[in-house]
Amino acid sequence: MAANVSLRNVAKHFGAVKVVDNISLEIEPGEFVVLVGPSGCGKSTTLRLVAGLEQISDGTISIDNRVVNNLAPKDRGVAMVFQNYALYPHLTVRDNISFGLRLGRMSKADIDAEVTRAASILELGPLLDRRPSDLSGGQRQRVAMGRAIVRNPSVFLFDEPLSNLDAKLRTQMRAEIKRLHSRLRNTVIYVTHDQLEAMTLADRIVVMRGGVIEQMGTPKELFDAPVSSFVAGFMGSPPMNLTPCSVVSNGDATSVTLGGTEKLSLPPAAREAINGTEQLTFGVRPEDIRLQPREGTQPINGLVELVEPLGGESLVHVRVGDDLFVMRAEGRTTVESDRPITLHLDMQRIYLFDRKGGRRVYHDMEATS
Amino acid sequence: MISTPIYSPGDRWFGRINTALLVVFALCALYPIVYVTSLSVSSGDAATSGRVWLWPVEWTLSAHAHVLQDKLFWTSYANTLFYTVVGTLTSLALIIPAAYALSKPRLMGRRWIGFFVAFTMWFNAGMIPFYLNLGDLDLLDSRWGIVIAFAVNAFNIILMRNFFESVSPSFEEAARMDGANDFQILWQVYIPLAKPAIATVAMLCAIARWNGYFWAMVMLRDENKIPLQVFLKKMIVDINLTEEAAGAMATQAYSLETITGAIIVLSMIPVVIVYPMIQKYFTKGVMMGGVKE
Ligand SMILES: Nc1ncnc2c1ncn2[C@@H]1O[C@H](COP(=O)(O)OP(=O)(O)O)[C@@H](O)[C@H]1O
Ligand SMILES: [Mg+2]
Repeated sequence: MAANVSLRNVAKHFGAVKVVDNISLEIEPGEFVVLVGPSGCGKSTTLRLVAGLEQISDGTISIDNRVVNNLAPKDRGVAMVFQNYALYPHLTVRDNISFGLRLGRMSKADIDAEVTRAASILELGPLLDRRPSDLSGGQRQRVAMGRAIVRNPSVFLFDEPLSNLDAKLRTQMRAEIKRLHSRLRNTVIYVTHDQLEAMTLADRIVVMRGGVIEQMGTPKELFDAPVSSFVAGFMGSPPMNLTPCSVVSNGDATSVTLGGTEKLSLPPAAREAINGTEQLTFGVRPEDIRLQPREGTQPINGLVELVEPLGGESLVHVRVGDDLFVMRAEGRTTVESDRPITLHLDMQRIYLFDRKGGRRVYHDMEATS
Repeated sequence: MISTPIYSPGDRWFGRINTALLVVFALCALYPIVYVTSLSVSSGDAATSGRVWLWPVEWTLSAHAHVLQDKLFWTSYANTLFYTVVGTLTSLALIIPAAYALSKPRLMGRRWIGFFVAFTMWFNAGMIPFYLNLGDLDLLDSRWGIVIAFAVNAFNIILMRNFFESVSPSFEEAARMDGANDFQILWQVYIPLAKPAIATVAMLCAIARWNGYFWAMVMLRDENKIPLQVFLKKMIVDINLTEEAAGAMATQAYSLETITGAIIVLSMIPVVIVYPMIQKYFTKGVMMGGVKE
């Protein structure tokens, strides 16, 4: 049922503009892969190349070990769910779902059986005779998925399927997509700009930037070992604190200065790793900043600028010189705005990136694994 | 829950003036209809002497009877129905595919083709060359000549094309993923989506056909092919001639005015019947609900 998908050196240009630039990606049968990245980085285009809605400019795409470069979308064994659902407004839910089947030479009984199967998977039974205009956003979303399911595709393609739903429904539909995948076990390629969706849904995340793959890996790999400040700043909510820092060497000790005033001395391993690079970006996750000192932490002083209570925890925004740090404070915090505060940074979990190019130069993998 | 809207005094005046203007416009449109109808059922004498201005004066159906007894009236009526129905269907059959193709960026030479289509809106060869051209194509004095010569006009193509362009491309893509070819996409997706636009274009075509007069008069020799409007003109000319010959029609219960009124009223009937049936397409779009932007 599920098929592997393989992209080898795939490129797409529109005129002179390279939108997808030499992408290679091997997707296992049944794998749930999420393409994530900022708007305009080429995610949708990549998906549409797999779907066959765009002709590739260069490279090879294979589905189920078969080169599909010149195959029509319908012959690729893929089904797509569009961001705006693209339900035919003049047709009932039933006719929307069976549209593709009715174009083929399938018997009426078989079509009905397929529609019934899809409807029961997605709990669409009572809606079959309604029109899209009579459905809620979440229901339309499910109809769009139903239209994909009846095609029995070996690969599901989703292009930002949840971005038109409100936050609560999004969480709900996210769970539903996950449930659907664990039930049908098809290969899924899912596009989103929402890192939370990527983290929760993906077996493997592919972070794209400017038409190329910046990094791919499991959600945990991307979170713990981002290859660049771009990925670090993309994953996590709130994302990693990233701030330019200057390196000060003083004999054996090497330290960095944050916010112009706050000095932190680096672990010996970091000193070796940076190897004379002076233009660095310092990174620390909000989770690795504490209000109390612990073993391995170093303090910096700042001023609380804003406290965002989230219920169980609060996000505390702290100004340190010219820089802003965000940290998580557990439970009911006594932190108040406009007060001085001392933050304790877990130095075993810091990241250092080369400011030119953004590559990671230092992180202690042992500490996070 | 609908909350009571809060109107400022300015809003209230805006509403009142709006209502007043709309009432005036409605009366302006309604009055000629009432007037012509009254005229057609008044006596010839009352109509000629200008005593009819709103309601019928000296009620009689003799003008209607006179028109309905004319065999040529029925022939021309049938012709007009033919020109309207067949002409409009022909127009739609040509305009819709042309507009659909022009709405797709993948059409080769789209800019040029679009330019040449639009060009005809502003510039054409002129009446005499057009007439001569029709003659060369053997389209004069033929029913199909009328249908074909005025089957497409650029404005309608552009109207339709603009509508197709406004349809989200994901409809086409979804249908393509489902295995539909171009004709199936047009027929099963775009045409149902375009019902309001198609109704508009169909109505523009039908009205032009129904009221078509000038070219029908120029092109058609054979009395049996003329449409209603040309028949009306012919009737007026005939009555004028009779009047001159007989001195006056004092003895007749009808006059030129009441005959004209009767033909107009009779020609309005199909429009009055059909319009309410298609009106819903102008007020209600069917695009709602399918996509969410
Ligand atoms: N048909 C097209 N013609 C020209 N440029 C395009 C076309 N489709 C997409 N692009 C450009 O390619 C870039 C990537 O688009 P897209 O893949 O939709 O990005 P994403 O889905 O990641 O937001 C954008 O800059 C967009 O303007
Ligand atoms: Mg996109």
